[in-house]
Amino acid sequence: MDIGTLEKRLAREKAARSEAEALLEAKSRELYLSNKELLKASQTLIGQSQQLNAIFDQALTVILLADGDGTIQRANRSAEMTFGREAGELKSTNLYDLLDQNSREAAAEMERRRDPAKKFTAVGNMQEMVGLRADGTPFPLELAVSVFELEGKRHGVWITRDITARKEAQEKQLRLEQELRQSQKLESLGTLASGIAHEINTPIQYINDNAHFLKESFADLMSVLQAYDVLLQKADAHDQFKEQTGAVRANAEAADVDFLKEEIPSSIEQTLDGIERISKIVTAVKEFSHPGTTEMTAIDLNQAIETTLSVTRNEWKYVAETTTDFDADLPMVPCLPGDINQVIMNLIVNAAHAIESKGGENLGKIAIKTSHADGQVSVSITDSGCGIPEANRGQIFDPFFTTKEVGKGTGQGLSIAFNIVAQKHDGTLSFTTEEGVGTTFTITLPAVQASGVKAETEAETKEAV
Amino acid sequence: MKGVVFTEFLEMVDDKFSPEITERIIDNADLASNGAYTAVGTYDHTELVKLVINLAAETGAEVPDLVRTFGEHFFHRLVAIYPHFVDDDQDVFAFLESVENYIHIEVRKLYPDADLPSVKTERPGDGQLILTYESKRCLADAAHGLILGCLDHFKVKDKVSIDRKDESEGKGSRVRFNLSKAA
Ligand code: HEM
Ligand SMILES: Nc1ncnc2c1ncn2[C@@H]1O[C@H](COP(=O)(O)OP(=O)(O)O)[C@@H](O)[C@H]1O
Ligand SMILES: [Mg+2]
Repeated sequence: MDIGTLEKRLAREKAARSEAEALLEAKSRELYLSNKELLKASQTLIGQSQQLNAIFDQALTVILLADGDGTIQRANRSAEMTFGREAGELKSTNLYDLLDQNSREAAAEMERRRDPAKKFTAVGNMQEMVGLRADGTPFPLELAVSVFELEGKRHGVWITRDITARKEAQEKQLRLEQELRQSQKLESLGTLASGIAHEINTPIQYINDNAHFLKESFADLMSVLQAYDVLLQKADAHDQFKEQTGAVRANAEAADVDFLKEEIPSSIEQTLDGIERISKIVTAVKEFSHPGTTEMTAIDLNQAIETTLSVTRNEWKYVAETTTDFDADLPMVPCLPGDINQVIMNLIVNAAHAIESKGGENLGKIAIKTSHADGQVSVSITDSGCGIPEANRGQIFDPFFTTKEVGKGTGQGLSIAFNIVAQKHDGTLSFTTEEGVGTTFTITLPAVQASGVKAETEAETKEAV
Repeated sequence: MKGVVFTEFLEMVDDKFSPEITERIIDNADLASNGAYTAVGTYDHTELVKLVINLAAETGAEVPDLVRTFGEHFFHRLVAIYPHFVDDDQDVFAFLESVENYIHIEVRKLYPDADLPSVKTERPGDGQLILTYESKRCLADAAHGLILGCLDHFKVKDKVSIDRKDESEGKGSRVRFNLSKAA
C-alpha cells in the first residue's frame, strides 16, 4: 500500500473512531436516562402495587380472585378470617366449595348472567347466601360476583362479607320490638283488667248483699208458710172455710210451692257461690296486676302463687293439673309484688309449654311447693315436661334464647325472671332438669325475719350485694 | 444500514481486489460518511449501492454477482463475529428457520435501529425449504449470497440446490428461494 492510501485510511479510521466514541457516549447517556426512567417507573409501580396490596389485604370485605374454573388464585386476610382457612389452603380451593349446596347453584347462576360479549361484567347486586367455614359450619354472607378477562383468560372476583353479626342484630331488633309490643299490650291489659275489676266490684257487692238478703228473707218466709200450713190443717180438722182453704191449696199447687221450698234455697246458695267465685277472680286480677306498685312490700307468697295460678289457668288447664304444697308457716317476703308475680307466671307458663311440647295423652303435672329455712323462702315449680337438653342449659337465661317458634316464645321470660330475682331481690333462681322427665325451677328469696322489721331486712339485702 | 455491513464490504474489496480499488471506489462515490464507517454506526444503505456500482465499474464484474459474493463473504464474517448464534451440529434448514425467529430478533436487541429483512420459511415436503426474502432495500442478491455462505458453512453446498424466483417483477424486493436437499 502506498503512503497516500495509508494516510487516507488513517484519516478514515480516526473519523470512524471518534464517531464510534460519540455513539458510545450517546448510548451511555441514553442508557442512563432510560435507567433512571425505569427506576422511577418501577418505584411508582412498586408503590402502587404496595398500595393495592394494602387495600386488598386490609379490606374488611372478603376478596377472592379465581381463574376461569373457579380455582382461587388470591385471597385476602378477610377471606382467611371469614372462612377460617389460611391463604395457602384457600389457594387451589374452588370458590364453590366455600358455599353450601343451594348457594353454589345461586352463585353459578350469577356467573352465568354475565354478558359474554363484554370483557368485564359485574353481576347484579349483592346476594345473600350461605357460606361454610373450615369445619363446615354454615354462616350467612352476601356475595357479589364480577367476571373479567385478563391476558385473554377468564377470571372471577368474588366480593363477600360475613353478615352473621348484622343478621343477629336484625333478629335481636325484631325480638326487642316484639317484646316491647307484648309488654305494652300486657301493660294496657293490666290497666284495663284492674279497671274492670274495680268496676265489677261494686255491683258484685250489692248482688252479694241482695242475695244474702234474699236468703234470709226466704228463711223468714218459710216460717210464715209453715205457720200457714198449721192454720190450713186446723181449718180442715174443724171442717171450716172450705172455700178459702181450697183456693189456697189450688194456688199452692199451681205455684208448685213444695218444689220452690226445696229449690229456692239451693239456687240462692249457688248464686252466692258464683258471686264468691267472681269476687275471688276479681280480687286475683286486682292483686296480680298491681298497677303502680314499685315499692318493696311484704307479701304472702302462698297467696301470690294462688292468685297467679288462677290468672294463668287458661295457659295450663288443657295440658296439666296443678298441685300446691304450701308451707303454712311461710314468713312474709318483702318484694315488688308485680315483679314476683311475673316471675311465677313466667315459670308456670314455661312449665305448661314444656309439658305441651313433650306431648302425650294424659295431663302433665305442675307441682308448686313453698318452704322456708334460715331466713330464706323458696318456691319450687316442678313440671313433668320435656326437660332441658344439655346443650341449652348454659343459655336458657340469655336474653332472646328460645327454642320456641316466633309468637310463642321471645326468649325473654327467664332472662327477665333472673334479673328480677337476682338483681332486684338479691335472691337466686336455679333449676334441675332431666330430659324427658321434667324440670324444677327454684326461687329463693330473703324473708322478713320473724323479729326483724322491714327496714332491717332492706339494710341486710344491701349489705349482701 | 449498520456500519458492520460497510466495514465488511470494504475489507472484502481489500482482500478480493486491492486496497487501491477500495480507495478509488470510495473517492468516486461522494459519500456523506466519506467512507469512515464504524461497525456500531448506522448509515444510508444507498452508500453501499454506490460502492457496489463503482466496484463493478472498476472490475467489469456484474453488480448482482458482486452483491452475492459479498453476501457469501458476509455470512462467514457474521459467524466469526457472532459464533454463539450458530450451532454447527444443527441441520442447515433448522438454522435458516432460526434467522427470522431468533437471530434477527437478537440482532434487533443489539441494534434497535437495524434494518432487517423478513425471512419467512416453510417446509413444503421432505428435504425442502422455501425461504421468502422480503425487504424494501431489495437485497435479494445479498440474501442469496448469505444462503450460499450458510450452505458452505454447514458443508452442504453440493447437497442442496437453490431455485430462485423473483416475486416482485425483478425488483428483488420479494424473492422466493426453493431449497431442496439431494436424495
Ligand atoms: C449468524 C447469522 C446472522 C446474523 C448474525 C445476521 C445479522 C444481520 C445484521 C447485523 C444485519 C444488518 C442490519 C442492518 O444493516 O441494519 C443483517 C442484515 C441482513 N440479513 Fe442477516 N444475519 C444472519 C444470517 C442471515 C441469513 C442466513 C440470511 C439469509 C437470508 C440473512 C439475511 C439478511 C439480509 C438480506 C440482510 C440485509 C438487510 C435487508 O435486506 O433488508 N441473514 N443481518
Ligand atoms: N320448664 C322448662 N322445661 C323445659 N325447657 C324450658 C323450661 N323453661 C325454659 N325452658 C327453655 O328455656 C328457653 C328460654 O325460656 P324463656 O326465657 O322463658 O323464653 P321463651 O319461653 O320465650 O322461649 C325456652 O325456649 C325453653 O327451651
Ligand atoms: Mg318463657
